[in-house]
Amino acid sequence: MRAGLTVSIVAHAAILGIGFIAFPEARTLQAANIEALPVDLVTAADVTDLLQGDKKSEVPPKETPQPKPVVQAETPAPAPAEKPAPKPIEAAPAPSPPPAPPPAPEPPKPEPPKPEPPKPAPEPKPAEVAALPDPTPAEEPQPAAVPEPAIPRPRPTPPKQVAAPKPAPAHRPTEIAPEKPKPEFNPDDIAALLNKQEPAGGGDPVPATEPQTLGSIDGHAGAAMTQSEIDALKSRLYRCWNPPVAVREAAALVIEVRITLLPDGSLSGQPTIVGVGQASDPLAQVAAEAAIRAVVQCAPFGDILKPENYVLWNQIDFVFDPREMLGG
Amino acid sequence: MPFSLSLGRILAAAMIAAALAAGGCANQQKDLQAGLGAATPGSPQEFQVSVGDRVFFETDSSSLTGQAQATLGKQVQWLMQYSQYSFTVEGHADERGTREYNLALGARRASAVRDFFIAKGIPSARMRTVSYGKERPVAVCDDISCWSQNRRAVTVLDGG
Amino acid sequence: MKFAKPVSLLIRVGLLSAAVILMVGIAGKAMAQLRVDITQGTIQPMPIAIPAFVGAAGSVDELSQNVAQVITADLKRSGLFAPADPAAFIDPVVPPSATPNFNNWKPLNVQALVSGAVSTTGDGRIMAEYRLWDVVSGQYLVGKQFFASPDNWRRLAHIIADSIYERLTGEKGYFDSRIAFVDETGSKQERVKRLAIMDQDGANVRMLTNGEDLVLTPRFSPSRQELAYATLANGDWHVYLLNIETGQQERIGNFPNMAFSPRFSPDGQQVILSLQQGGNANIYKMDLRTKQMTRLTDSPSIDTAPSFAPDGTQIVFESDRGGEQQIYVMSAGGGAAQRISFGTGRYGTPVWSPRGDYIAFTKQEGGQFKIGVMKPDGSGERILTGGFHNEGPTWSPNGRVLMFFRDTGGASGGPQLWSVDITGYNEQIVPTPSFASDPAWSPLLG
Repeated sequence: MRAGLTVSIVAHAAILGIGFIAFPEARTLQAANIEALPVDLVTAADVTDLLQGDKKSEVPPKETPQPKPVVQAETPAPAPAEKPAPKPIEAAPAPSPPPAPPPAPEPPKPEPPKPEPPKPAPEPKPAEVAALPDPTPAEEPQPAAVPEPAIPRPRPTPPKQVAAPKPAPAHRPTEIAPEKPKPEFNPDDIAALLNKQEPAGGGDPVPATEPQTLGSIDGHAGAAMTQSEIDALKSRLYRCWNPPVAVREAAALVIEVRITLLPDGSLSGQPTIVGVGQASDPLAQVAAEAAIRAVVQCAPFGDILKPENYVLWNQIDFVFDPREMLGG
Repeated sequence: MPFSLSLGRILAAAMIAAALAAGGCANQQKDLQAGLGAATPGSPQEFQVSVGDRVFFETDSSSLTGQAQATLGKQVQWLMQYSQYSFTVEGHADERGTREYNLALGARRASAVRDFFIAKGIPSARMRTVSYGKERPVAVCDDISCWSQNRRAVTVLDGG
Repeated sequence: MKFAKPVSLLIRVGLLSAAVILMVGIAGKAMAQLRVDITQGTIQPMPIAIPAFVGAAGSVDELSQNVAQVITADLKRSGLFAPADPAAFIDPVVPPSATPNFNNWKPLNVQALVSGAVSTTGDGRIMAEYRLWDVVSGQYLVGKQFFASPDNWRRLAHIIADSIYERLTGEKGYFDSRIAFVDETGSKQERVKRLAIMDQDGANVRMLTNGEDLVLTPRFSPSRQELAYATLANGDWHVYLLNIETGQQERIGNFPNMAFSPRFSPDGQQVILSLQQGGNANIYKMDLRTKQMTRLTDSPSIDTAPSFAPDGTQIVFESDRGGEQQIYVMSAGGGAAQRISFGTGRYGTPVWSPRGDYIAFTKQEGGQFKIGVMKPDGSGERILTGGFHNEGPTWSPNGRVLMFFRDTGGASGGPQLWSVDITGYNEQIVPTPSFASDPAWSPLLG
């Protein structure tokens, strides 16, 4: 009897001990705050897809450029009619000779899965566990173009924010025909700009009239992202982001990039693609790479993100949407 | 009787020579007068200078204006009189139009003149037409004074 | 059975914990707490570094240097790339077999890097290879290898440039192509016009006719090394085919009247052209093999400048049947034509993009000549450039660039070739030995 009790106690202790060690506190906290987050409830299937997406970190395009530096011989078909000298360009039968740039094969794959577990996030804010009154103001974003009903929660889509301030005048391409008089980059005018006649004079994008707050993950009354932080993030990304110029069907190219940040605002690990408008679009890969470049170039963000809000911005999803910009 | 240079004969010869010379001078004078006012009748120069070898058109148009019809009427007269000539009607356009359209427009103008000639009785076998589009301007400044000179149909005599 | 209880309890606790963990895991990974919409960016040429390629002996030689320069010039001229000044390079050369030291490239603020090499093969050919790197992410993107005879080294460079362009923009390239045009010399009243051909970057100019007879509007066959063009020979205008390699010429048809404005069908088997009849010009189609002629328009007007849609089912052309030059679309078999131009002014020289999504045209309005594009249904008209004179657009093989000619005017002035991106940006002159007009852009050569 005693032995059984001992064994039982030991076994229980072992289980609980394993539980404490293997399952850090942070997760439990997060679980408690699910309801407070203005996000969708995601099913397990979606999680699986997301995880798989993270691992790949690449949009599966039609022809996958292997990260292998193995050189593939190209086969441009030689024009049959051309006998007299010019132009017979032939390709080698796939040599793959040169020593693969040694580290290349591995690093090309941005290691995504790693950053996840060691999430230092919640540490800074152990104390502020006060219950957050509803994430009120967040509920009425002002989507300029997208008329979303103001749904308190759960929101079907994340609050879309319209660029309130005009970003710094865009860098215009150099050789321009003399008929373009506008110095400032006004996205609403871009179609008129490219039509070299009288610009129709687009309106300003609808400015955000209310501060954007998204609630606090662990219910901190004071921890809210301020409008200025979000604006600063946006205007910085506006400068860093070079969407592929050769975009035709912009609707397919909404790219979501997720970054994880350290408390000092620098990137922890590589950014990952968590959403691609239309993965089969040949431009999707190009767009995804441009989005990742934008984020990497813009980091670190320590100078514009408030340390006390770290719990809110330790992980950010940037949604790159060129539709407004390129006239859809 | 041996040839004797009697004074009378010498005098007669001199008079004849003088008369001939005077006649020649008179002819030359007539030629000079003719060069100033009109070329040799029936020559291409006469056609160009006295009759007028070209007519002009409004922008984008192949209609024969009154002036054009008057000139063409004179051309008809001349061509009927000197029926040994065959000729080519060249149609032209000014440079203020696109390449292919101007080629067709020049052809349309030449065709309008050709139709006029045929209606007036000139046998079609005597005439050809060709268009130069905007490829052969006569005036090369960038305004309407030059462009109007280029919108033309020119009747060019063969062998002339 | 002493352990039955703890074991089952163990299992139950384990399952419960697992369930909690799973839920937590789901919740944790579903969505970052902060989502930021980025709806604007900067349209600017992508900064890229293209150091000199390595040559046959392992160091840079003239050929490898030239190949890198042709690639650089192509990418820069497209307006979509900004090659960095080699003077600023820390590493002047990057052998393609090595991984670049990205720390030496990031300070230059370039986003991509090209390393490459040119070498000779044992059988008298040359080989050019390249690697493309994403400097920002430190990733290898793609690498390829091409072979050619030594006198085709420029084509190797153009093919590599196309490959880089495609990988970084998602669009097919256009650098491995040629331009046919009319070379103009002499006085304005008596211009000497010769058919000419050159690489799209202006290199390798070659005259194809001797200038004795006027020539106009050369157009490429999509499938063969052939041009169709109009020439005034033997007293009237005829349409000829010219074999680019052999120089051999052959007249199309034997028409009593003027034939002009030819274009090929997408399969290269037919030529559409205008035939003049009196005051009218109508569009006909001729099968090059059977020589059969089909009449496509029949109107008392000037119908000309026809152009096939890339799928071969429709033809766009200009007509003044409504009183003024306008653009019409009809089925490739002829028949009813729909007018698609409705702005003020006159529209002519319509050309269907190889992508099928746009029709480019010349528009005359308010005393100006403009180059514009519109969708095949006539909507979305956009003017790309305008001025005293601009005319005759032709599409690059990828449908992103238009080349046209522009006349400066004046007694001693003349036409030059210009190009502009379909967005209206990057307008620039195309160098030619003399005045030049009527450009036609070939399909990709490879």
